[in-house]
Amino acid sequence: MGLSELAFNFLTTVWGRLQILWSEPARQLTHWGWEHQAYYLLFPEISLLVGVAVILLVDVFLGRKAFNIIIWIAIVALFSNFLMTLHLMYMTSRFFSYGLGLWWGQLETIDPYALFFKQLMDWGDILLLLVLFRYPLIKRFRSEFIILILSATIAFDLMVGSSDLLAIYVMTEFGSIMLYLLAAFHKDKLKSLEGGLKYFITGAASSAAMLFGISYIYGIVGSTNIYEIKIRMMSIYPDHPLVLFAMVLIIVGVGYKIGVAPFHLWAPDAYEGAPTPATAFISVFPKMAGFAVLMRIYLVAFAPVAQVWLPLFVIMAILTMFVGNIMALTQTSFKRLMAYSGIAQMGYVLIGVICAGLAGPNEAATSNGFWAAMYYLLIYMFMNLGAFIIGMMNEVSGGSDHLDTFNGFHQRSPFLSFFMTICLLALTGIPPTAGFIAKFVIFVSAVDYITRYPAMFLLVLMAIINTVIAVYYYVGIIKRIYLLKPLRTELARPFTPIFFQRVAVLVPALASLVLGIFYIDAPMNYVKGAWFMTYYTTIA
Amino acid sequence: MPDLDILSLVVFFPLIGVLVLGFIDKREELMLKVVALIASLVTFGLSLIVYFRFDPNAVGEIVPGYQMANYVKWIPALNINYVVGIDGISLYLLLLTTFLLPVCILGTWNHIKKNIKLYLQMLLLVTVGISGVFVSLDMILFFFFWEAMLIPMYFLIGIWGSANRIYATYKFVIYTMAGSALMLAAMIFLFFYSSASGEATFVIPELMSRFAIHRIDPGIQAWLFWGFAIAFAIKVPLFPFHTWLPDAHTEAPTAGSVILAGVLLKMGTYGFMRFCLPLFPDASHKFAHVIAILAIIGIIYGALVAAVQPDLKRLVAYSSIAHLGFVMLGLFAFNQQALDGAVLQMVNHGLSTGALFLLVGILYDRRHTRLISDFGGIARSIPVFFVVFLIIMLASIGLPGLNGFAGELLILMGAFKANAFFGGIATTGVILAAIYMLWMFRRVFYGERDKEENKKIVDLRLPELAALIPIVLLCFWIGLYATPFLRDIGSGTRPVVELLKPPTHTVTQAVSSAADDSSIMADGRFYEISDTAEVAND
Repeated sequence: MGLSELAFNFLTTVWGRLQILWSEPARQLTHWGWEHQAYYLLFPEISLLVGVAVILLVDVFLGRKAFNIIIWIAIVALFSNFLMTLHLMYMTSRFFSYGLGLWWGQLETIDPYALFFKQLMDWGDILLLLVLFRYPLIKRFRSEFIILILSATIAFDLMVGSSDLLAIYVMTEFGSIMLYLLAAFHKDKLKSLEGGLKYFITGAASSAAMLFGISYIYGIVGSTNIYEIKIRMMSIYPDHPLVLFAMVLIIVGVGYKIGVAPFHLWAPDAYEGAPTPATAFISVFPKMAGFAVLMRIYLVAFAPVAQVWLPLFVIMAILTMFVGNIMALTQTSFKRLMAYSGIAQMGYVLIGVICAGLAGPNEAATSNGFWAAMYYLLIYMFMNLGAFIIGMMNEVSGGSDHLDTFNGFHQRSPFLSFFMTICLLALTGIPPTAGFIAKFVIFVSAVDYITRYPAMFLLVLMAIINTVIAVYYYVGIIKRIYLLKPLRTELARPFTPIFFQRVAVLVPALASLVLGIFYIDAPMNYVKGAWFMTYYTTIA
Repeated sequence: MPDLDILSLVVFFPLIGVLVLGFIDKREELMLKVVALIASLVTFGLSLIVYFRFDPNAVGEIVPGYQMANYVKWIPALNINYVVGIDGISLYLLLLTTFLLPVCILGTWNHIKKNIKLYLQMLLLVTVGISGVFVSLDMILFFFFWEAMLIPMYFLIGIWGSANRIYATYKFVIYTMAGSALMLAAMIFLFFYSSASGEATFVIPELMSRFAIHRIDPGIQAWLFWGFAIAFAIKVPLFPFHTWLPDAHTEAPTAGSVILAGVLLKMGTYGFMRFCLPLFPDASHKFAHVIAILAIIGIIYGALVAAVQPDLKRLVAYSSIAHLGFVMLGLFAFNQQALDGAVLQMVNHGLSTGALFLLVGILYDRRHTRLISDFGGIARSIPVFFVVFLIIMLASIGLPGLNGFAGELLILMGAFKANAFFGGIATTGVILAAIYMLWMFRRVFYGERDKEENKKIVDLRLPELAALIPIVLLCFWIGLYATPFLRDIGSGTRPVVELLKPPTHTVTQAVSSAADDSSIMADGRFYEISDTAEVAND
């Protein structure tokens, strides 16, 4: 018997013992779960809520010194959320074939699609919190920052699972208000206030537009439930101007959250003003939740009238890519650059959404677009978060977020420089990084339609042009890191991140490297499987 | 656990070197160099195993037509596989890549002063990328290596280059990216197109055999052809896309230039050979004139511009454009001689131009100038260098008995066969090459030794000599006895030539139109069409 076999046997034995130990509490929990299913399924959000409550108490009783404890509480809350989503993922895959159906007055649904996004947000939040162990936030309000992040996560968790337009609206608002507060968090700084205010005013207007659009949808089909709308949309006259009007209004609302052109104008200011951890949060999580909602609304509820909204999306995708990339070319602030590059990245995801829409409701299960968009968001989270976390540490050690502080960054920290390079290459889409695979699946989904829809050729061409434009500014940062000399001598002084920050850098950077070479299949198969249950959920 | 095949070992062995280098202290320069040299020599040794195992008559077991192949599932969700294998075309390019790596390390033994650890790591990494390109038989794997090679090359030029390096490296990366993004889209389209005859696939031999039976629609072929051709033309570089080359070659450090000229450019011509010709034969015939004219412009233009360069390195860079023009002309002549000659010339150019860049780099290391006007009469100061330079230069010109002659002769023979007019014009390129090279040689090595610095130049050092002598020997070997090389190369080019023969329906049309001509029928050779290009143009 070989050594590896021995080790394997040993591990399986240990695992078996653990199973026995664990089985009784698990059985009881499951038993309780069956009886109180509605609460059981809410456990991920409940755990976060408990975390928020505990943090509030700790803040009151232990005061400001307890910041590290607060972070740990938040991490534990997020981790239990993670475990619960994992458990629910297991349940959706094993015991049910249609997800876990609709709950709470058919407002929320538990399906692999929603759980995927919930889980991603947990990972991202934990990474972000790890950096905060040593980040100079305003001392007096540090714990509020954590509370805002957790609350926003609750909102996004519920948002991605919403199966009713009203629930979507409420949860979007809930999340957005947290984001406005995060954006204006540096309340002594004018830029932060300006960014927050701009974000808030335009956000409120777009939410109003969305609500208006929802009212029209209710007027047209007589329901606000996504799955009801899907059925009723099949029998309406799609060319009616009201349908187009409602679609446009809802795009205004959702498009604003994901920051696609022409609803992107808030992004650079809000990004620049907000404290960098908040910027990192705004740059990833609302976009993911927004896309989750966008795809659920447009690819499920409005799939039967895809011909109405597809042209809009094509224009939006092209505009988004060009606006984002061209504006990013001339930026001198890292955060503004990432704001525009983030806009451009969303253009690629839109291509995936367009392809899923082109497939139509009957073919959508075999279409690549839907899961390509999901996969892109998965990789986007890692690479963008990684770049932001390293940018954050550059800001801490370099004094500002001006791109010049990146000059000669490798002298300050070879470790961070290396992983920043990986993240930037991933954002550019150069192999062997996961960013390449993500762009590749988007291209795969789009090229599939070239023969049937010649307009898709244009879209692919635009995407190609934009990948090349993006090389300029992403590689520009790499150029600053390795090829240029530091501006001032103190910028060459070595900077060593603490252990938790190293972890927070390593995880996303290695994920965006390793997912490009190995383990490409597992997430792909998961997101591939998600479509069926998202689309074919039926109302109980 | 899939079996480790020899090709993957050759490709990925430098990675072990990179890792080991990572654990050595930055300041122990000798140690770093020795470790890198050992890693590169082992890689070369492994590739020699590939060479000795290669059998030009073998059929190939795992992938038909390719030897020492390996086929592992990589991303089943998208039907992307890790497929490697080698045939007569890629064998010598792989050998060249692994051969130039120790040459680079030895040849620039004392040239690099700053951050030598990263430098050696980048050299090893770039070799991984390039040799990966030559052995991969899956389109996406090919693309993977094709792009991954950019990153170390970017750093090689950007960190250790000369004054204008950042501009040059930027230009290089953006040019390449622009072409390859289009190629990626074309690859994906081909993937979906292949689903018409079986499961959609990215595997190149599979696609070749499928499209040999079910020809791609000529209209689509044209689009796909250009999708690939632009990416490769930028890499080669073909005439209007060549502007990155002089900058990148001139600004790169010596080893970077050697790799750029020696093997990186071959990725473009190899791409034409691997994708454009066998997959899109109709489009290749259709656009053969376009490419051939561009190639001839490249030959003449490259030679003329090289002649007036004041900078030695720029001169060699422009001579590369001319030489690669010959290769492209050979590729688009579509006959056995020309294709054989083109592959042989790829190897020859890698040896002779690589060595020229190395020699110019050595000269620069001694004198810190590359301007021709700064030299003069240095033959007396550095006799050994002079002899080596003379041999390499003559090889580059194409003197009979040296390697350049064998390749150019085959290409020109093939080109004349396909189109005497093009062949005739291209021949003037040989004369022009002699003019600019010999003129440069006269100004650098002969004449008055009027500058004080030129009297004190140090001759070739031992490691440099160790790097150059094998190249000189290979130049003579290929020049005097190219048969074994051509036998191996021919085994790879024959299937391509076979695929390039006009499709059956074109033949039947030609037959039916010529049916009343009894002499052809009586001859019984009506299916043999000597000038393939003309038939396709009908």
